[in-house]
Amino acid sequence: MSLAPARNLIDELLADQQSLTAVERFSQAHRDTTTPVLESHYRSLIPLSKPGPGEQYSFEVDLDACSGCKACVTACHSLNGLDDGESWRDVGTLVTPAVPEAVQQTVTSACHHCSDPACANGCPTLAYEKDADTGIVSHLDDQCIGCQYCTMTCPYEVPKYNDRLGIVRKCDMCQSRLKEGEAPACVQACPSEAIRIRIVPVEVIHNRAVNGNTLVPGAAPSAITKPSTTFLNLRGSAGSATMAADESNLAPAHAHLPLVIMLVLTQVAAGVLLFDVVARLMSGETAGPGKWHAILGACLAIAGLIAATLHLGRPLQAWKSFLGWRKSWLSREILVFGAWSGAAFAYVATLWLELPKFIENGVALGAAASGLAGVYCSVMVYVFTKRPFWSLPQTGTRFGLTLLAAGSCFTFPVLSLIALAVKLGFEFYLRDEARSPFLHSAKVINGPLRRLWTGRLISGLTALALIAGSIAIPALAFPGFIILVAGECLARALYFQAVKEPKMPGNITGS
Amino acid sequence: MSTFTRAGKEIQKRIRSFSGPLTESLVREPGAYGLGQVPSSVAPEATTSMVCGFCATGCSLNIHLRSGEATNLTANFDYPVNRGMACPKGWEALAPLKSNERATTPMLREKRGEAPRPVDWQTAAETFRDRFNPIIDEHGPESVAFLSTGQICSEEMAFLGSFAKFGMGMIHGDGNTRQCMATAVRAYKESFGFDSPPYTYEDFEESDVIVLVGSNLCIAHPIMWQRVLQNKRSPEIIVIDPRRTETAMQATQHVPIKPKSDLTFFYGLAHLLIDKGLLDNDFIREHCDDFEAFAEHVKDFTPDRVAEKSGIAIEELNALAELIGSGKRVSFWWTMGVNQSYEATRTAQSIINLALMTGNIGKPGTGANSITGQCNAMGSRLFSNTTNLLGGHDFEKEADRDKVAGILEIPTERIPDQNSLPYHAIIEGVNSGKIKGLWIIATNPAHSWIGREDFAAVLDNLDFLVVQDMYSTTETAACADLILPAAAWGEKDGTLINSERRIGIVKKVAKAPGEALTDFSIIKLLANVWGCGDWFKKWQNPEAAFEILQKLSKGQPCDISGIDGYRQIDEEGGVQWPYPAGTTKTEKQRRLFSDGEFFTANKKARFVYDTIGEDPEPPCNDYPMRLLTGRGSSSQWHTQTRTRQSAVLRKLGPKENYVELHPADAGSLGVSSGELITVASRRGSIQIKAFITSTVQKGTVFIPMHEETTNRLTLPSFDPHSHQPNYKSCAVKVEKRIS
Repeated sequence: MSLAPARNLIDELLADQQSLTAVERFSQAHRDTTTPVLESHYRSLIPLSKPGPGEQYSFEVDLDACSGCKACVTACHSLNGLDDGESWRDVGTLVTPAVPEAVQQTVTSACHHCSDPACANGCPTLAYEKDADTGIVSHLDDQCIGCQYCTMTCPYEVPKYNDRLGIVRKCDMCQSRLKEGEAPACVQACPSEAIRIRIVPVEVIHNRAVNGNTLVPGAAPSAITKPSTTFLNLRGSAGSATMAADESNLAPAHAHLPLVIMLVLTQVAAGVLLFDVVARLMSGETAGPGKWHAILGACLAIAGLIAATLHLGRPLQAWKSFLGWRKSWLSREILVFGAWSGAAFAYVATLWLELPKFIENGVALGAAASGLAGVYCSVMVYVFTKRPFWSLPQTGTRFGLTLLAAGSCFTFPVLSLIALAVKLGFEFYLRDEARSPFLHSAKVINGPLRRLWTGRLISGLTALALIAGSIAIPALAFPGFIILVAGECLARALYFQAVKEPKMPGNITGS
Repeated sequence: MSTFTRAGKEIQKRIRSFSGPLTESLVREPGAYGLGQVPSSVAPEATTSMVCGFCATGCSLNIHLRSGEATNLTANFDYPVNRGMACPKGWEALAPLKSNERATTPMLREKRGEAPRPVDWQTAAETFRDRFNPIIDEHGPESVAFLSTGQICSEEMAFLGSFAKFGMGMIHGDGNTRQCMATAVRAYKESFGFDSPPYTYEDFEESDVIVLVGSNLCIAHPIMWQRVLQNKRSPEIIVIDPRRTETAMQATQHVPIKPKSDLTFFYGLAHLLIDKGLLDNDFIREHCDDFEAFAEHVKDFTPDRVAEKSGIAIEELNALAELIGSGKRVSFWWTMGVNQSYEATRTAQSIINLALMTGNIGKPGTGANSITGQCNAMGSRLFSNTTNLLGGHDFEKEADRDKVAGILEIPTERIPDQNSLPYHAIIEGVNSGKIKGLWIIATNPAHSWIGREDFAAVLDNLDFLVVQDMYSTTETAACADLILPAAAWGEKDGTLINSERRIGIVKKVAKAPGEALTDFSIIKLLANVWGCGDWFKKWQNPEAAFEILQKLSKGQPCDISGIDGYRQIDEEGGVQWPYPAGTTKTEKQRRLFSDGEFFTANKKARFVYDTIGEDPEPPCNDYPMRLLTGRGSSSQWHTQTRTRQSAVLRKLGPKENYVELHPADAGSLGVSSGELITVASRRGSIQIKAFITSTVQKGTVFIPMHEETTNRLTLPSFDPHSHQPNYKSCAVKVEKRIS
């Protein structure tokens, strides 16, 4: 057999493979249909009227009707033109393992369009807008700087960070569709008609967000954000045995490395500058730490702030972050630390300039006080998330002791030793599964994060030894300081990774 | 408002970006073509519809096209199957096409153990010929075989089966449909005279009582469950399943029979129906054979015995029998819980018998209905030229061979006069060295085959293994000597036949990557290089092949000779068989046997029954628990070769394999949820995450089938009639210890 005919055939087949002719060969359905053909399917699933005063739109999910097919998630992805793997709706599972009859309930949820949205309240750039008429909480993508703070403040994991774009995106209840009388993608796609849009009085939302009520078992207390979603027919919800399928999942949370570095360095710098000022004021004119000590503090401050920008998806837009200062602790943190970095350098400058005493002291106190104020803002940034592991006592203790231990390392080593020892003891207690009030966090630290914890412990103990030694041999102070700071970074990584993130129920093997 | 506040607001308004490029990228615009709003970034210039290529529900998807190429899709509202809805796999049907794991060029492995290298099609086709030919010359036609699939178009299956058997001279070829539908085929053939699922999906809506046996519709066939929900007759929905599945939870009644008590259970129900006189005696007398013998057979299945074996109380058995015999419209539906068993065929027939004796067949809302798995399992059953000769004919009948040879215009001698070995016998043949050359098309047995621990070693026995697939990365492709890159669903034209016998159309709406070709084109090329291209001259293109299939079907129960080409199928929302020439006007939903006439010689249905078989591996002291396997989620399809290519579907499935364990068993083992434990059978041992739930019965565990570890445990045992593997039961032990 000759080769040529096959060759011709191959060319023909390959060419045919690349030609697309479906449009030409088949008739075009709905060529002239401008109204959505699905309208009859979803007409009863969306309200006929707009919300009145004191009302807003909300999702209503009938859990009895939901059969767990998850089409809502894929439809959200496809009908909104989202990136690979991106969807604004998620599904999880509630399980009641109790005998005699087990219940497994799929829970589909998107943004709850909260009455008191924590995403908006925490956003430093005002990139969220709660529509006064519809109550829909939408995200202004072009306003977002990608700080991801809303991914921490939202107790339902709704805003999702998009790596490609450097911003978060979230569900807007398909508001452009609703406006035209069309149903949101998920509502359109549910074969069981389990997802609906309903108008709900804001008062009702508020009234039910009390007494530790949650949307579904395992979700965060509704009091935090007053979510508008209604879940109907929560089977087995009366029994406390109902829990999220991923309840026992010990996957560590995100480490947020730039934030780890930023927090530790700003706290260390604030401490170094504070004790520089204290030591200088206490020792009068001549003595006190050398000028290098103040310079170290100022440089660490700048390094910390540079690290912070690495956490931003769109750092060039960071200047917008002052906009949210009225509500956002993050906005305040950025403003205060910005002022502080100026004050720190002004303070360093005064060490060379011969200025009147009152100016010198004023600048010194300003630098010390603004540093403390900045750290306080940092504390509040995390307290605001209402995660128990990040409560005021928890976060305040950690951040404060980091400031004390590192700040006094060169100037008041005994204080440094005490602060570090107390902090290590505190952390040691929290990872003790028998005693810790945070069992999940303790299990995560002893489980998947045990190597990180070991590193933290070794570095902490080494720093203790070196700083103690530095009282006799001053040359040990610097290595002691470095290892202490490194250890604090590991401790801060544990702080981020061991936190139990509030979320809607996840899936059997985690999500 | 103070000046200060007003100034603040003004600044805010100017600085806050309510629009911009990022906002624009998600803008939606009014879509034409009745779509409603669509993302502007992928707004279509035209749409065309085609049926989905995953499961046998056969939903139609509206493909959104730009420059003739698919950019997005929505579910088709006009189609009588899915009415505007789709499951996650359907929504994501285009995603698997874009994977970078696609096979883009033929690959040849010069030596086992070496990496395969790309070759051109000419080389690939000649290698195919030059490696298979000597095997056949030396060891005879029984030394080579092919394993086909329910995932390609009918035209391609028919071409494949014809080339392999009539062109290359193979005797043996089977499909992965053996793993899912063989039981239903065999059961229907024996009971009705032809492999003929009698129902139409409308029966879900027309029933008063819906009995689902071993069928988890909510997860496996979500759109069929939608049809159940559209039933306006407030039906009783009874789920008979050892597991409390998602569907069982949605049902009005769950009957948790003990695993492997199904045949006894259904004979027991028949016993009670006879006892209570709840029979359609007229129908039995006029349209059925062998009822008396059957009645005699089930006499022994007393309520006591059945309650003991099934774990279902006598009162419940009575109530169930009274419901089934109440004269209401009762439909019976079964899926893999029945089909994948060591006595599957008789179990399916025990369900058929219940429908026959109560006259629940041929009328709206009734039927003994097998729900199919793969998108074209039904096409494979009729046209793959494996278990039967093209078009439901018989290899062993000379008249049939003559008829087929005449239509194909090939010499009758080219048609084998013997049946093929079933799948497991082909694998045994490879294992024993009798089969030395194997061609695997669009299936992944190295993952899916039962008791697969040493499957790669089995394949290693072969002198020559060809794998034809859209991915070069499947577990099976990793063993191949020659990989032929196939175009996928969406990259070719053809037809698929769904569960309710509806022929639907698929279209080429995407360009295949690299040099991938449709299975149809690949076979055409191979036939040409093999030197038998002339015999297949009429197989010009898929639509021409469809005309051949129509001719082959003529006079058969599956006669589709009246269909006027692809365009009619496209415009009518699919066409159910039969559709003989001369058919003028038909309903969109048609069921079989409304005249009470079956496809047997005397037009009567047969009561087929048997003694209860022996469980090939009951739990024992060493392996005290029973392993059940099955579908785990609606976002995963079989071995996940396609679904894992979609990031959204990956997100919707479990991140890793898991075993469902009853709280009591977990308690005695000291295992808690989320813990890694060991599950071992006589074949293998795996480490797997425990999920504690009373959806499984005490003493049983359940593992989803989608991860390759699961089939290291399962027991290679088979139904003696259908040769379908018994995936649903084997003995295992569960240990807290991780070895």
